[in-house]
Amino acid sequence: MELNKKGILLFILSMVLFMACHKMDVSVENLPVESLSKFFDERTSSNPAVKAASNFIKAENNKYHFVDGIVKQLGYPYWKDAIAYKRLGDRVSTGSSGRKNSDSSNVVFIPFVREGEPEVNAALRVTMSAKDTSFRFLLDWQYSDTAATGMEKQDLALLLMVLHTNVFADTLFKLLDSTILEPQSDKRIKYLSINTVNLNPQPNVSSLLIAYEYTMTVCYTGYVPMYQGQVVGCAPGLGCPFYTQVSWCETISWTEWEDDGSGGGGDCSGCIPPGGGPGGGGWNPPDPCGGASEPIITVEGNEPCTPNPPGWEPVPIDDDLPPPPLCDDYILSLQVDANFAAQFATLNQPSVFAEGREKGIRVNSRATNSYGNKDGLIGEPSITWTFAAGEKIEGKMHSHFDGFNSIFSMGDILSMADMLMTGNMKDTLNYFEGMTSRNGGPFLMKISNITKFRKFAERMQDPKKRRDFLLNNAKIAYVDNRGKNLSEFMKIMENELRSSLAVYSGNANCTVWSRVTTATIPGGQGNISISETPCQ
Amino acid sequence: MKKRILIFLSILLIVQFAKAQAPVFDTCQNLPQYDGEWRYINGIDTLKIYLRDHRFSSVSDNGSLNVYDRLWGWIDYRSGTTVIESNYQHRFSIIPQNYDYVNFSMWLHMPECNDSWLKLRGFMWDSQTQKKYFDIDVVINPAKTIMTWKLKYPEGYNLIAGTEYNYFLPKEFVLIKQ
Repeated sequence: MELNKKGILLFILSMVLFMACHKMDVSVENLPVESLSKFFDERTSSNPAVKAASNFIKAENNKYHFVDGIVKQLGYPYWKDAIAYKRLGDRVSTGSSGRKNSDSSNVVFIPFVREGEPEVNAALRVTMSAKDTSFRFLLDWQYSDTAATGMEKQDLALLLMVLHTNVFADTLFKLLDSTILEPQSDKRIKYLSINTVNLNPQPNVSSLLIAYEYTMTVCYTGYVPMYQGQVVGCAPGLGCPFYTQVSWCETISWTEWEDDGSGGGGDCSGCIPPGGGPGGGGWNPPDPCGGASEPIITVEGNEPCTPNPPGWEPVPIDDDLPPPPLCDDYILSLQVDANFAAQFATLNQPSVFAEGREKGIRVNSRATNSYGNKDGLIGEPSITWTFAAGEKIEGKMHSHFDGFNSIFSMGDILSMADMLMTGNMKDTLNYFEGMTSRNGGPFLMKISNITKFRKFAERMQDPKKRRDFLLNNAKIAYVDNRGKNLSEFMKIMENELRSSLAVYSGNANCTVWSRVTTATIPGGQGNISISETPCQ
Repeated sequence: MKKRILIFLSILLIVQFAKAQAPVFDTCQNLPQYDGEWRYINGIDTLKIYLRDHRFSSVSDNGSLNVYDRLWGWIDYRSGTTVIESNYQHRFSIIPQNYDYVNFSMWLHMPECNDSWLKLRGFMWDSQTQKKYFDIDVVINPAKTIMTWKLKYPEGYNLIAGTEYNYFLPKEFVLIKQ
């Protein structure tokens, strides 16, 4: 009997294992295809250099099949957020042949993010010239190993922070290793926020090998606790004014060695054609368990190959800050601006909606009560605005006529993005667009996160990304249902614009405004509920 | 022991379901009937539009997957022998998952996927700069052999002076199913 029980148990376990393995077989067959597709076809970039890097890696993978390994170790590449620049043909000297060349090269830094992790953990640097293509993995745990990376530790740290900012829009980083940056007036910087990045490659020359020193300048604001030794329990921000700020620009540099054909070796972890120099490893990223020179933390109970953690961590936007007010000061000031309300209310009239054209008002200056009218053409659901060079306005409002959208269209959002890119916004932190229609409105949308919105605006300058964004029009167009349109519109705000714009709904007189917010309905299959909270 | 196995299996199932992310579907089974060539000829001008239904997906910035059914369109517009707009030679191109590299001119959808409305809507762009966008309204006759097309600037699009552009097709035209 005991034997039978054991037999049944063994049978059940065998079946479970069979089912589990059967499932795994399917996964193993599918995983490379899915990984490949996800690796190369998602988060793509239209930048020719990034495309070339992607194509190069794809061709290499066809030969060496390494993508799955990279995905397991580093995650997926975010091609669209890569840093890319072209060094123009400025090679001025060479080796013994004395020939003078003028070829050029492209350098691309591709960020990698593991699935489910909110941070960039590595970059792949690909350098492409007419003769050579070289590449090097740069991992966050390697930041203090200058020999392995060929970069100073603050340079690699800043580079990975910049790439993180590109991917996630977080600009603030907490320095866990206080030695990454030089102290400022003997005080250690505890946080830094990335401000600007300039790419400035420069040529350099050596004897037989041609070395190019590439540089980029990263300007940041460092946050130093006000009092030496003070433990500040919050990240710098509106609710935490316990830091002094220092502004600094760091020049990140690294050297690329290019073989002039005289037989020397290049300095790359992977060189195409093969045969690169030291620090090899090819398409296998450096592995902390693989005998890397990086010191390994070994703590009892830990896995034996836990690499050093990176010396910094991103502070997600709005973390550690008090929740921002639903309606900021600018909206509150609009709410008590009788001139603004009177102007907007002239558009919010049934007779205007029946005119068969759009009508618009630009807000030149609320302080001086300066407004300007602009009408669209009959039958054309658009308005052409004219701005003199350098002319800046505070915002604009317009009406949609009967038969068209009862909420902002994708074109309205694109118009706002274009206004940012053309420099026609007086105050980028508070620029707004208004619209109204018979079946919905008045509404305002206003920039609430300029960093995120600028990323969106920059992306929309790519015609193909703009085209994809316009697909969203189908979700709201021509449905005279305020609730449905508003719900779909807010989903687009969250999904495509990462909530970089705040949306407000107004009363008929445009004197009372409410912040429109959303909440996911539990079990609602992605449906959201809408709240409109009056501004106070 | 059986209990433990059951718990183990349940956890496995829960993990599998938790991993699955439901994509957002904007699909429609009524589009294929409009596949093929639609043409207008008046002796001088020739306008041909080739439509193909195709399902594709795009990932939004927050990672959610959108799945779309659309009629993809290719245009050949000539005045006499002068080609005004054409990417017709690409109409049979294989459309890869990354469709960035496909030369096509338009996406049309059927509002609410309601075939009885006899309407299609969408937008088109020029094949050269891919920056001249127009909204499209199409009305179809009950026999589904004639389409009346109207082009408009994208709705609500606040064009900034200097960036405006001209129509590259007639603002209104009629196409006959071939």
